Amino acid sequence: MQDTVSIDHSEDEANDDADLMRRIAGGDQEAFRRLMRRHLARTVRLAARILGSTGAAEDVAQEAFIRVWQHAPSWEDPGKAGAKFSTWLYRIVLNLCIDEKRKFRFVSADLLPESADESRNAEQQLQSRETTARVRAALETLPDRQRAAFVLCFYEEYSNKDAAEALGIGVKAVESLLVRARRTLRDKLKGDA
Amino acid sequence: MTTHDDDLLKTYDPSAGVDLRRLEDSIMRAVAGMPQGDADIVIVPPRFWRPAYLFAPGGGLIAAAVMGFLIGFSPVERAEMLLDPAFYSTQDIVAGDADLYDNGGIF
Repeated sequence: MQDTVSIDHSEDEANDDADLMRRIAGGDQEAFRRLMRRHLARTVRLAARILGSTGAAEDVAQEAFIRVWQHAPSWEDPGKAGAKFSTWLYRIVLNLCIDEKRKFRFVSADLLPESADESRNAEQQLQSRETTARVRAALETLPDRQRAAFVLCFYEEYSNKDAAEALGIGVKAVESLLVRARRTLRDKLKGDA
Repeated sequence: MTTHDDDLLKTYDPSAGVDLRRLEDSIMRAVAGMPQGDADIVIVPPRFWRPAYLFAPGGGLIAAAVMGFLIGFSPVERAEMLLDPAFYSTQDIVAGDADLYDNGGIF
């Protein structure tokens, strides 16, 4: 990604998000831009890892932030509702990904746009592409919910509790999904090696 | 999974080529002038009785139970559909098929 924004799950960040959301509820576009800069990179990355397509991930991210804008007045801050903005946003993204997957299937890795990186030679690029295709194929074998739970916990480093909140299921169910996902991925990657 | 598998999986980032600035501008353009807030919800007060209640799961079950009770409560005699006693009366069978009985055909 051309502009990576590093995000942590700190309490300060949650408070800042809540403050920005209050301003957005009043129609403040600058606050909306700030909130987007904070979360857009992760949103696109999450959607892309779940959907396996950057184009669809961009569409999902755009739709998710449009919903954030539209529903900002009815959003309740964490102090009252007990849920962080990022969890709420991720839930929107996951639901949109599920909708998107109903009309969209994984495209071949060959159709993915190549990222121009002139610092690497052709052999390294080829190797990287093969690795990506291998991981992608392994992730593709996971059922939707397992993939969503795995992406949230493994890539986004969400706790099981936060992932459970974002997925709208119990912590035990998340643990079960993760165990099954890891087992499938291990077998798949071992089989491909 | 091994650490090697973890390292391999961590390399996967299909969003690497996304132009976030372009996407951000596109979203800002999309929300410019877009109204906020949920659409006004019109609450229809419930009515005591609607024909639809008869077909709704709860109402349907109650209606079926009432109809079943009424049918069972006032049975209609349908003599023409009863079985002929000859088919189930042992005495009639024995009397009518004495030969068979004598020969031990059915008993």
